Amino acid sequence: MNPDLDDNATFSDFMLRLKSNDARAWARLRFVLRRVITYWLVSKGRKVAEADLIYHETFTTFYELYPRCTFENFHKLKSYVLSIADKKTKEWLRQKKTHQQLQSLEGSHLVRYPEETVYAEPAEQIGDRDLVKMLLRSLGNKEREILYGYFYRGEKLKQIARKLGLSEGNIRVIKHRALKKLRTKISELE
Amino acid sequence: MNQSHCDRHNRLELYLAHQLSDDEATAVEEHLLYCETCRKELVRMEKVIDVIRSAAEAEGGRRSPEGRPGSTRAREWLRTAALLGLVLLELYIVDAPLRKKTPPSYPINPAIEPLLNDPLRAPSPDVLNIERVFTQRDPQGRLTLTVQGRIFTTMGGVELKFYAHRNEDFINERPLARRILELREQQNGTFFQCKMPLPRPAGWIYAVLERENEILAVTKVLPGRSNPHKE
Repeated sequence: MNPDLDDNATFSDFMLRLKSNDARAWARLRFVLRRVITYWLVSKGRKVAEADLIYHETFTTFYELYPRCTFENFHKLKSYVLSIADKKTKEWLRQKKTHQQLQSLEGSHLVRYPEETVYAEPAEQIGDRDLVKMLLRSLGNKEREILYGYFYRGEKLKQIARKLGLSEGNIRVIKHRALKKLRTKISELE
Repeated sequence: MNQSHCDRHNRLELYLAHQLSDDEATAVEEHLLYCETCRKELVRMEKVIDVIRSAAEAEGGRRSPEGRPGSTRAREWLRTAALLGLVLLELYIVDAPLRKKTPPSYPINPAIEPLLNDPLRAPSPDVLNIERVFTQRDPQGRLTLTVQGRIFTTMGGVELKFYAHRNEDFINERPLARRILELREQQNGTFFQCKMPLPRPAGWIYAVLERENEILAVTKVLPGRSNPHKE
């Protein structure tokens, strides 16, 4: 077995590593599955924090069930993981609903608040917000409109080009430059 | 997936923008299992895209498209005029004397409606009516949540607790702010006002009004708007 996997590695190599409980292989799988599950749940309308919670539940279940499973390819593994995530989402929604019903039935006697009057905001959140503001101040309106459309609203470049009355090539260049600018700013801050 | 660096970069960008088909996305995900360079690149790109998404969410992603005719200066003037209008409106609303019998902007609690003209006929137990919930920003940018209403009591007074929450799931989370308001030996129909400074501007704020551990009202309000939506 190679000490590390490279571009030419096959799925069966990877599965062998998982079977032998290779910590690095599991870390890689966790890295990928986190994105697979989170993106899938976000596309279904779940919030990022909820998706993260469901991901943790899903991965724990997958880790427990894994020794009993065999997968021919990554596509099958992904489908299996997403079916677990689907069950976990339903479970989570059921729990949430029950919790809400309990609250409405029994009033709010479960409500217990801490005694402080005003709470300070965690410092890192304020820092993040300032960072976002500062970074975006370095971009023009057109650049921001393109980035929001492409990465936030999921619009195609062609749609954005039509909306802004520019050519698709032009949009691609502006997007590329804006991303480069942001990346440089972030690396400067790091 | 033996591709050049640029191809991989473009693929990852399309993946993060959710612009790939399911099969293509699965291929990228499988490649990420084996390729350290792409994983590092993905993390780097995610940082940038997270910043873009946070900003788009904060601004509501509704920025108007550029390239339209019209000078920047004119737009600046319009924006200033709109802001000034909003500030004046806010000042007018806040400074308007509450004791004037102006119709409340908030829906009237049906239990209280018959009492508005005859406050002496107070029901038992106490009834209160939240008339306005709004947020206000001072010139220094500090945000305050204000709850205004009217109380009808026969019990010699009441203690109200106000909480401001950021999330819908306010039962389990720490409130942003908390205030206690004691209304002792008040006359029927007395107006009350409770102001809570909020630690930072946020999205929706949930104002929760509680009396003796019983939630009386939950109001959802967006900072900068004074048209609350009652849940």
